[in-house]
Amino acid sequence: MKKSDFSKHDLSPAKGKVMSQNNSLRYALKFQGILWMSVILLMVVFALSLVMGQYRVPLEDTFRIVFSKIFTINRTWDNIQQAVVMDLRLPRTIAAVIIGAALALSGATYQSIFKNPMVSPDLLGVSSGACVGAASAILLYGSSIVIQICAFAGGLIAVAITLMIPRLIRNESTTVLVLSGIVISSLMSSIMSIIKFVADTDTQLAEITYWMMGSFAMTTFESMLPVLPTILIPMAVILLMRYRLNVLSLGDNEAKSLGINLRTTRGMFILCSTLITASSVCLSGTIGWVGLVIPHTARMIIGSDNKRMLPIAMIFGGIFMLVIDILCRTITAAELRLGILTGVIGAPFFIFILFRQRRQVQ
Amino acid sequence: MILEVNNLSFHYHNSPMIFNKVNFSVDNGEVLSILGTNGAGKSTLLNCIANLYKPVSGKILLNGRSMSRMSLREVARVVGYVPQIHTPAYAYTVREFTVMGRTPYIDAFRTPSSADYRIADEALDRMGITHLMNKSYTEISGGERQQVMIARVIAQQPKLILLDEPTAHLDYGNQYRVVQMICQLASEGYALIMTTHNPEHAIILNGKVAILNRRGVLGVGQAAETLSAKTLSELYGLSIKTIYDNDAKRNVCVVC
Amino acid sequence: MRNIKKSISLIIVFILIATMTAGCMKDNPVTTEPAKETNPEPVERIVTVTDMSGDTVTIKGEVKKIINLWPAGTSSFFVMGAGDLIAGLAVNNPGTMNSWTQLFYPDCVNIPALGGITPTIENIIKLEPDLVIIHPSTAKDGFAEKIREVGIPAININFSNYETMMQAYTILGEVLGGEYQEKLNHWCSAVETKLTKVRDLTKGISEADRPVVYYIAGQTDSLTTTMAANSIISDWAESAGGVYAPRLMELAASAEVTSEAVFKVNPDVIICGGVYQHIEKNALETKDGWKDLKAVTTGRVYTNPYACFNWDRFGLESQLQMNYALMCIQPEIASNNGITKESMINEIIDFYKKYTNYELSTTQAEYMLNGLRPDGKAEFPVE
Repeated sequence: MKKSDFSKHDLSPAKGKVMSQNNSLRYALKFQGILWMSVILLMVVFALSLVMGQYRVPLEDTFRIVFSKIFTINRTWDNIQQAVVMDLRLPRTIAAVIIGAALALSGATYQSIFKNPMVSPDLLGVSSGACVGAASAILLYGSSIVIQICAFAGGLIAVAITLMIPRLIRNESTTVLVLSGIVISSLMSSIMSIIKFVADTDTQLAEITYWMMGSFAMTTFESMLPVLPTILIPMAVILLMRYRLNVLSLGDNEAKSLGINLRTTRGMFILCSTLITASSVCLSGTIGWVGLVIPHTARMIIGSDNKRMLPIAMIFGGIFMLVIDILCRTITAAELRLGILTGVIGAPFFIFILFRQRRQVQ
Repeated sequence: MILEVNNLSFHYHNSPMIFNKVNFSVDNGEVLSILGTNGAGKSTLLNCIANLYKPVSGKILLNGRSMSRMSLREVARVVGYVPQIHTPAYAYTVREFTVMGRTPYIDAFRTPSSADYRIADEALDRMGITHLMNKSYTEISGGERQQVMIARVIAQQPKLILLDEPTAHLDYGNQYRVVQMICQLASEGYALIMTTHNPEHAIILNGKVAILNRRGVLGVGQAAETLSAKTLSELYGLSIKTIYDNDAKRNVCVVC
Repeated sequence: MRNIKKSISLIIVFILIATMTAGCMKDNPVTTEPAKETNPEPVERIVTVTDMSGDTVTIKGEVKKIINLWPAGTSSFFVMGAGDLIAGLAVNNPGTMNSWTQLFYPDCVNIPALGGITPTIENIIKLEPDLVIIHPSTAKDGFAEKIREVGIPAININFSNYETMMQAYTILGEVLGGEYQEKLNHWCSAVETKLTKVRDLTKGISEADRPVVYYIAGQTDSLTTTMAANSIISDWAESAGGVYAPRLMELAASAEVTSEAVFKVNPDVIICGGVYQHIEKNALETKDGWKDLKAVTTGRVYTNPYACFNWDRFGLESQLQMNYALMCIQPEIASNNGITKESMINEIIDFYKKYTNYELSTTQAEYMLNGLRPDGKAEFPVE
């Protein structure tokens, strides 16, 4: 049999090959273009985040203050301006970029492992577990570092229970794993309701709500440092292993037949995303929507290949989170909760994405 | 011998035996077609050879090495698996999809190299579907998907290719083309095993045939001798005739 | 149907009460039984009031057992020496009652805890109250109606500023009668007098000359949690001649504000309330940015006294806040009119003698004025 038998409708395969290779080149260029454009956009938003705020710091001074840490610059600003830029805006700006990127990355990871684009990083109960941990610590009047540790531990324990159930019932399929994730998540929300019921309405409840809605208001470099390793290292591991996500997203059997050790590879990804999500909850409370909406957006723009999609999703996540945080602290004098705005902006945006995808299919 | 199967048995947990002490072998350039009724366990047998299920007893030897002692990655470099056509959750392009065949050669912390892409492009070229390369895998037709799937397994560069009902869900023309493609691959030296519901495909391939019956017994032989009217009638519970056609130069099956 | 249900529930209630009383009698050999015999009251007291949600409620007989489900109202009972009346509170653990409350009414730690603000009706019946004070947030849900259905009067004494506090305490006075009514009426007129006096003293100050006052709630260690522009805080802060910062921030609801919003208004006076007040004050003096605010550099950061409850919030003790606020916000006017630390200490001693029947020592009163516990330590001390 001849090759042409298989491609009768293609009159000149040679020409088609050249064309397609041009196409591939265009794809690569498109990726480079989008990558650099989004990096530049991220830098612009980053700078904006340092400049914008309720307290006026002149544009020039803002950058002088930042660079005065590196170069010697004549001081033309007062202490309050210094504190506003260095102690208020800079830490939360950096935190927003890291958390946005982290949540987008772990969301995309979960979506690939579970072969379901509707999955968010809290599928296995990380966020709800972390909330229970944080809320319990608040209930027992723990200090902020204790609350952080409890949130982290709560997230890990919840996922550990979720992972244990499929083993106990000797069915390690993805479906059972997702199901036990749902069970543990709702169990955690029930515990959460109990804690909220017991909590002191005047003091503790407010703090618990803080955890549930997320905020960068309390972020300082000191609070950021302890969680950085548990965010950045797993992020690096996922980024390096990201090609395996493509293969995992094909399904258990296909991944296995392509030589992937399902248990260790999937386990590694789950461990890393869990660490990332638990650490971000530690730092800023639970923030919904980012892990769901951002990977979708990145996929819509650059395609599904995780090799390209993940870096783009991370940058988009950083930009999105920064924009949300800028809005949170500038719209009113009151500090708005991130969760409110990510929902208000994320949900309609998600509908828009679904609408566009539907049109593309048609 | 690329593949030797010795006394292989399998049953699911707390379930009756699906196949019992099965023996066969496949060598370079050989095609083995597995026939059997629905639920006989053809796919299960294929999955055991693909290293997806662990047999209850017996041995599978790849180039004389026991498969159970090989890592998944080592197996994946020898055995390529073509599952039934399905729609993946994500719209990978055909090129991205094909290059995933290179996975057994890519380290865990790496992404495909330009050499990997070249091999994938060559596989697409061999299938004559270069023009599909940047199309989304979810948007092409079922026939085209089967071609891409085969391109991926070619990019995997295995010695043995397993195909799970490669003709299912395809129209008549595409079914024929896939069978032709399997012939072609065999002539290039690949060993192939496929499951099928159509005995004629086994006749066209004219290689080895294995018939798995409900009692878990596997009968193996050459297609020309094994696929008699009597065997087929017994297998499918119909009265089937085989008639030699002069134009096709082979037997055709007719249900009377 | 309804009647049948009602009578069934009444029967159940009756049985319950009967068993409860029987149980109580076994536990406690000295019962109120003989007291009733020695003190027969031929004419039953009947009071009808219109509560703060506009419901007309009739209360028959002496009110001797009250279940209070409104935490903001709790302190009032201890301050007016009515701790004995409280038969149940919407708390998880009365052991966490603060040290001033324990000083005035040591028995407060034994008050039954009902957990939430909506205990089951059965739990309420079990405690045999003569009156239930509901949480205002449950007024719309018909929770009071449900309690009244089982024959227990329930009222809403919601208050959110001085005016409504005076209304609510007048209602409570009518319900309780006797000594308490006298105290509550006295309280209302005292508040009116003090408020009028403070307002008169600061009337002439132009908006531009008024110091900007920022208030830290101090329920947590957050420096940015404050109260809304229209809260009771603004009531005393503006009466005492200040400009309440959240008014400049247009803060409609009590919330956490951004630090930058506080820096922008750069307050002249900062008042730290709540249990974290000393920690807040310390943080203001040490944290970058905050320590450069006008109020901090000029030494005008104040802690705010509390006893059974925060003076700066609600309750009977809020009467003491007027002069204290004037002292913090317009110190010159205050001292010109004889309002000084010494006068405040006397005011505190007189206040608790009058309402609580408790004689505080000068040292104790001074501790209170400095936002400390009766033992002179801070609730949450600076580490």
